[in-house]
Amino acid sequence: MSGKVVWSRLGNLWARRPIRIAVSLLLLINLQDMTSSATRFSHLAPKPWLQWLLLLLLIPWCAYYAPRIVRRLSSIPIPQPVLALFCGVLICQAVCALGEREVYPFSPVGMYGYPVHPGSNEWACRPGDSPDLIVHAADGSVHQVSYFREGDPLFATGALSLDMKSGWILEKFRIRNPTAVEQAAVRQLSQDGHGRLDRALIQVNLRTGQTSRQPVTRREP
Amino acid sequence: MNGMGASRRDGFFDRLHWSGSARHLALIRIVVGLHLLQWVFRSDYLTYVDEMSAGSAPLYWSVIPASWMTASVAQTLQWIGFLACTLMIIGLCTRVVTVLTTVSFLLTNHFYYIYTGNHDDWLYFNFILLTLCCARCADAWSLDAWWRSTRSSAAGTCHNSQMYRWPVEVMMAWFCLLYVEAGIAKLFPLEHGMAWFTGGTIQSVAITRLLDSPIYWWFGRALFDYRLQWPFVLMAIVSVVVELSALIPLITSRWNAAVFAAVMALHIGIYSVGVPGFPQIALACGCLFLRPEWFGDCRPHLGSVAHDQRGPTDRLPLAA
Repeated sequence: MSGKVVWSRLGNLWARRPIRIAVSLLLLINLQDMTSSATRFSHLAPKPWLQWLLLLLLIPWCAYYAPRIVRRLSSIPIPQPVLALFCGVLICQAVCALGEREVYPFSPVGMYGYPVHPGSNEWACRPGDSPDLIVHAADGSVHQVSYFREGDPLFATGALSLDMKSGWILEKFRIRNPTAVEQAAVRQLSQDGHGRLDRALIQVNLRTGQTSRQPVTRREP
Repeated sequence: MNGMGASRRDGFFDRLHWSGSARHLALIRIVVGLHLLQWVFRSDYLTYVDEMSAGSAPLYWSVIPASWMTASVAQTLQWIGFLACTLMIIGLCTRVVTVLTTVSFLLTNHFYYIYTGNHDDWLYFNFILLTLCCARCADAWSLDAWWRSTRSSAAGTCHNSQMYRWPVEVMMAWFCLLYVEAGIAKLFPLEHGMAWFTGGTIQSVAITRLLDSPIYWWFGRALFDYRLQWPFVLMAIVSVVVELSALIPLITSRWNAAVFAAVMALHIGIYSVGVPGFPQIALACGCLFLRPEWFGDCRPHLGSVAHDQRGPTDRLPLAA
């Protein structure tokens, strides 16, 4: 079979839309795999030669599709300067997504994308070693303080006056800066006139559902 | 060809050429503004970021230099954003205040992000606000439109109705792409994508956030023994399928309602295991999925050939 025949048959195949879509998907999946491997997991095994070949095939693929994309974009009814702005944003976003790099305001949106192997501990508790706060209210009720809960309009107990974003931040910094978080919480609790405060390590038994509160000695911030 | 047949194409690029609704775009402006006012500009979060991160260097990267933004500047910008956002909702000097809202939102979230690394509103609304800045979002349900109509009966009319459609489609495409990207990020690199399907990540979140989850607040315990693996494998598969299904609205609008319902269900599920903040964002973005025809000021689109024949016939007076 001569090279001309092979070339002609390849051309016939490429003329079919499903084939073009399948090839495009393959090339893009390969590109994403190679770029994200290089950025996030540089320790992974080197890529096989086939993946490098597929990467090279992106050059003719781009040469084929780029004029079509430009033609398509030039026909849409978005004003040209606005279109240029959107394209710039999309390209930056695509680069971040390919490289799995986050540079505000662009993001690969890889939230919880990392694989984790959780332990087999029977007791669930918050991460970090700072104790949880327990509020003994004047009416005799007892609340264990959850910053997420106090920021949640549906479930807040009213022990702290937080909005949702503030609750997020206090919880986020509970590990990084526990002293500052506790100071902020205690300050607000005393401002609001709540009763006695305790510190405890709160854990939930995953098997039985039982909640355990082990008192922790008061640690002055 | 009237384009209304069952075979008409309704992909993203086709829909950009269709007629839109000034009221739909105005509704998006108002809903986005109300969301930002309630959850971002009225929040004390910048005070807490400043207090908690005092003295420490920023931990996350931004294209905006960290030195440009101090806590006091961020808080001033938040006030400006609050005022601008209020004016954006009522539609007074809309173009200017939308730009002001966008700039203050972008910069205050820069300050928030570089110290916390949190992803929430900014992922969605930076681009949505940017689009609103470039769109005619005050041609209905705004003081500007009312003021123009009192000065001249011709003012505010005779705009190409595509001008109301493309911003909505572009914003919806952004919303969908965020989920597709989230799905892709979980799958790649392929060697680790398979590991994600063990469900370990969701299991870990469910366990470490148990005390901070609505499930615990409601029932006082976990729903089941979270050491079981298979429910989390199922959740991992479902979450990736839902995220990748967000590609469908870019191909056809027929499944918009189903895709949006799946995304909402995903967020409610994630919220129930202790990741708050997203159901209300998705709900606010839900107005992007409404059909412009429902607003009563959108003419039936002319089909796929219409975009090459724009002219006086594609212009319509705006409903008051």
